[in-house]
Amino acid sequence: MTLDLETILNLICLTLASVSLVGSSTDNRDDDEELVKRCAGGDREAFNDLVVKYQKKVFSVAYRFVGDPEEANDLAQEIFTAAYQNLKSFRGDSKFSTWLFQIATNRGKNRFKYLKRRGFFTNKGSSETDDEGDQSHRALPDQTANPEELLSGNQIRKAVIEAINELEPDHREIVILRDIEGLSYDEIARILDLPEGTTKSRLHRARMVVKEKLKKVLS
Amino acid sequence: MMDCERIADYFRAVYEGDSDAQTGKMVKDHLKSCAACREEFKWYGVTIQALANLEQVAPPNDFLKQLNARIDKNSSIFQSIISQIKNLMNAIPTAPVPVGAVSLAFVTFCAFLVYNYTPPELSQGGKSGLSLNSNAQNGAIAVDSASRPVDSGMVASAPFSPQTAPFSHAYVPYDGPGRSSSVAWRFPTVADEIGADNLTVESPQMDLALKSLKEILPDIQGKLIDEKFRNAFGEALVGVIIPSSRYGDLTSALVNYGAIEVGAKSLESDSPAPTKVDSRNVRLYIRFTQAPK
Ligand SMILES: [Zn+2]
Repeated sequence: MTLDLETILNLICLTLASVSLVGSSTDNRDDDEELVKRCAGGDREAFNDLVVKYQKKVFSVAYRFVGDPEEANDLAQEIFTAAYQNLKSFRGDSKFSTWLFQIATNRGKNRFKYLKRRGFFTNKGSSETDDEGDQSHRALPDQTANPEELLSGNQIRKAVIEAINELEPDHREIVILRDIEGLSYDEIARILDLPEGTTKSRLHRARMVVKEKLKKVLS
Repeated sequence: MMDCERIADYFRAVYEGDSDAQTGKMVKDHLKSCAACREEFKWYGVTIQALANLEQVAPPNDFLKQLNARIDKNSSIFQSIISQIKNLMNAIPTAPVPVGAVSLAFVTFCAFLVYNYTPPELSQGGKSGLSLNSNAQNGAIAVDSASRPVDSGMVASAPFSPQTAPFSHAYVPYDGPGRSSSVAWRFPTVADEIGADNLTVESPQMDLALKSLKEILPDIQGKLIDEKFRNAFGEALVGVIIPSSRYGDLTSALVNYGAIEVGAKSLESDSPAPTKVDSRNVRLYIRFTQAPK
């Protein structure tokens, strides 16, 4: 399998474009302030508006932590319920979305640990891979010159899911927030209450772990 | 020329255009001349792209409806009992002494009732009871910080938000993972409301963990004040009073004694802060749970 440096640098440009898009939306004003105020005053409609606004993102984060639609639905509901219960204690020190994602990552991580202890992911991952059988070795022909083709492959998707299922919770969380959900470093640092430098180095280490697993499965 | 061992450290910065010009150039020069590192860098890029390309998922169409049903279900009779207790407690400081005493007795009585009551719909399942029981079964115990190093100070410092009033924390219901949402709700308990379970210790050897706690206490000028909630699921709730400055020592000692996971409060404050007793000491409730083997 060969990808030349040029292709890689093209990929870099793509990524940079998406990074700057995410980055540009970061400012200090909280768009949700009004809704949050009404919601804290007991306005259920305002809460519903917040749910509608964030349900897709929260569900997606939940799904990445547990890897199962039913579990994800339960977890996402737990996250919003916790937000509803605690909204009165939300003092607006951070954006509402940051606070909501703090709850989401906390709960997500807890649920992930719980499920992992019970072998939820081991059973899942291996059975999915077994279904593929021999295909796993043929999925990436050596001549693949087109990264899009490579990246859209079903096998690589499965390999990625298995790889993140094996990550330790702190690594999984940061990979979810940055590489899957595309949040900015600034936002992630706030959510995880980490210095931005730590956020970046932790993400790097997590990616290196995933990379090694992908290499092992796909080369 | 940079050597191969260090090159990977710069992958993220170079890949994201986040490195200074000089470093960027050094790394790129190396990549041009070194096939092995180029291969690694390629896989680094493939990894990031593969993560970004995972399929999109969406919540079910009736997500909001399900959520509202779940929230409504939680607004139970228990909430109103507890709010009445709160009102009474708030009234105590201004009430004449006999009224205060009677109220306190009433509160204690209610607390006892609520604490020992298991809602029929939950007990039927045999899985989830009230308070301590339910947690043991649904795994709510090991809270957040297990994966962080305890000596980082996170566990030691987090619970000391400037919360001192006993009823200052919103109750955060928790329902266990992997169960249907229809019967999963855990009712709030008086223990939740008065600031019990400030800390959870999950250990495969609970007896040892408990014994350790008792051994640690004299060393940190702490004392045991309560040890009565032991239930069929093998959980114990232990109350201690310790100098607030020794909280960190207590948690690290517990870890050193072999309690595997120590959970303190998570970011959204779902474990109440310890209650201040006086300027020096705090009252702390520690829940010991048996870790799955
Ligand atoms: Zn090299």
